[in-house]
This record gives sequence, structure tokens and C-alpha cells, in this order.
Amino acid sequence: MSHQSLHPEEEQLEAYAEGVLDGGDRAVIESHVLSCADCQGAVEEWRALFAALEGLPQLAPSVGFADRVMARVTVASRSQVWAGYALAQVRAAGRAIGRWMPQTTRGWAFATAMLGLPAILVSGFIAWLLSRDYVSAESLWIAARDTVDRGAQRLGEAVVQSFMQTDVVAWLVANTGEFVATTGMRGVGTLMALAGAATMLSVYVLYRNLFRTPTRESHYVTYSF
Amino acid sequence: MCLDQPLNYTELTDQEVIARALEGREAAYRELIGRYERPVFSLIYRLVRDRERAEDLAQDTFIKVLNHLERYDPTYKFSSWIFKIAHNTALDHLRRKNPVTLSLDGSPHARTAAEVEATTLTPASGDENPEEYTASKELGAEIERAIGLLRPEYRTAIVLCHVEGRPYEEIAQIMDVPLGTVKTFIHRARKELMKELEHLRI
Repeated sequence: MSHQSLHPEEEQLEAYAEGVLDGGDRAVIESHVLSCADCQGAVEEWRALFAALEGLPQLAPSVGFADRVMARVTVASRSQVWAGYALAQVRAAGRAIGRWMPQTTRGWAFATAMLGLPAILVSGFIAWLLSRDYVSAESLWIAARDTVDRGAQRLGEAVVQSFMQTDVVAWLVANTGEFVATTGMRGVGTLMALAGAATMLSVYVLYRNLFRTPTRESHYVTYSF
Repeated sequence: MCLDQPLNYTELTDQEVIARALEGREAAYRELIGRYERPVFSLIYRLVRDRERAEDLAQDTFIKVLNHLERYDPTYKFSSWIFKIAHNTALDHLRRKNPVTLSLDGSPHARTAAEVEATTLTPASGDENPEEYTASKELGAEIERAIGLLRPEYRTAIVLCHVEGRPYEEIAQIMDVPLGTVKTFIHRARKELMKELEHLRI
């Protein structure tokens, strides 16, 4: 095996000269460079180039550059400042919402199906109720409104009471039966609706993990200019 | 809120200065110009190699940035944003000026001498050239001349890496190319510079 075949690659010498090799690679290259005049010369050439490039000055524009720029820049007024703040908040909200949006066609299809299915079921149930002779649209509306009102009222009371309890389990045991007894099936329906919403949320979280496009390893800035 | 309250902007970060600018403080705008006029002008000048044109393009860059500060995403460095706009502004100018020469922009890995020749811009002739702005005239002028022979993408990568001292990751963001491509640009640019400067034995 000739000595020539043991020379590091050119890129390795360049990286060594630049000082960007990590510990292990650096030690290997360094041990070779110290004993090889050719590679020492190559490293010195790289270093001389780097030094020459880093010695280049930053160039300055002509005097009055800032004034010429500022003559064409609109400094925000007070009203624009508030408008800009509001716009920034809207953009931030948009970015936050955007992070929860489906990223693939399959994801959109799944989300649409998951959101549409309950709506179809509820619509079908309402249509079935309205088809009964003893149910009118007005009575159905009143019943739905009362259910929501009473459910919300009971729920609010229950939440307030929960803060008054030191033993949450005891509170649940004591109040669940009472809640069902006093509110009847409407209260149970409200609870079921809440449980359904929680289930939907769980499914959505699962969907995000199953269908969301993985974040790219390198994320590049894009600007809309 | 007193907009005229004096502040020592030099101690503030870019993000803090931008926040002041968005509050309507003109001094904050001027602080941003002061911080970046030289780096931005240097980059553009070394790309277009024409002082008057570089001044115009640098002005355009600052006007775009400062009139749209509310679009700045503080997740990223302000320097990345302004360098990116400067780079794109200069490249747009070069494309308009010489669309044939830059027609291989999307193919950075020229494989043949003809491709390299086709994608190489020669320095502008005339009195105005970067050599006049180098402190060490002989070596500096030779290096500036050699940089002028590089493709525009290589020039940007070399200037950002060695003159501005920007890390590879930030250069990749600025040029909107993968990290590996930046490393390739810089390696090839250095090789071409070594070859071009061989007679100097630097």
C-alpha cells in the first residue's frame, strides 16, 4: 500500500483547515497531516485562502444612503401601529390555526368525514322527529333550547360546586346521581354531547398524528416579496 | 407612549429594534439601516459589480424590508431575511440584465467547461469595480477579480461565509437551497478561487 493512497480526501483537508471537523475525524486527519508534507502544504493553501477571503473589507454605500432610503420609507403612524398590531395578531392566529389544519388530501377527507358524519346523524334524527305527528318544529326547538339552557345551568352549578369540594371523587359520587335524577334524560344528553365532543377531539388528535406530513429536516424561510 | 423618547439602540437586539420601529420610531429604522447597510451593500456590490447599480439595489432592498417590517417572522434571524431579499434583488437584476448567462441558475452543478462558461459572469468593464474598495490593493484586487469570475450563487455563498461569517445553515436559509448545496457551492467556489489565484501562491 503506497503512502499516496492514505492521503485524506480533499474535502477532509478543507474541512480540517476550516476547523469544522468534529473530534474523532479531526484527530485522524491531524495525525496524518503532521506526518505528511504534501497534506501540510494543502492545508496551508486552504488556510491562506480563508485568511485572504476573511481579510476582504465590507464595502460602504455613499454618504447619505440612510437618508435616501428613509425618504422612501413610510414610518408607521399611531393608527398604523395599532392596525399593524391587530394585523400581526390576526396573522399569528392564522399561523396557529394553520398548524392544526390537515396537511394531506387524505387528511382533509378524513377530517371532513369525521365532521360531516355527526352532522348527518343529527340531521337525520331531527328529520325523523319532525316526521312524527306529535312533534312540531316549534316544540322541538323549545325542547332543544330548554335542554341546552338547563344543561348549561346545571353544568355551571356543578363546576362551581366542584371548587367547593376537597374530595373530587366523593363529589362525583354524590352529585352524579342527583344530577341525573334532577335533570333527567336531558342532563344525560348534555353529558353525552360533551363526551362526544371529547371523543371527536381525541380522534382528531389521533388523525393529526396519523396523517400529518412530517416536518422537513431543514425548514427554509419563504418570504412573499 | 412617547415616540420621541431617546433610546440607546446599539444595546438592543435586532428584534427589539424592529419592535420599536413598528411602534413608529424613525430612529429604530435608521438603526437597522446603520447595522446592515455595509453587509447588504457589500453582498450586492460583489454580485452586480457596479457601484451605482449596487446602491440602487441596496436601496430597493432596504425599502422593501422597512416598508414591510410587519411581515418579518421573528422565528428567523433578521439578518437572514434582509440578506435573502438582497440576494434575490441582485439576482433578479442579473437575470434581467443577462438572462442567457444566467439561464442555468436552476442547475448549479455545471459539469462541463461549456456549462461553467455559460454560467459565468465576467466583471463589468469601466472605472467602477470592487478592486477600488479593497484595502490591500494588490491581493485584494486579485481576490475581488477572482470572486467576480464565480457564478453569482457561488459569490453569494463565499461572501456570506467568509466576509460576513455566516454559518452554513443561515446561508442555506438565505439562498433557499439545501444545506448540502451550500457546502457544494462553497467548496467549488473555493476550488475555483484557488485555481484562479494560483499564480499568487497565497
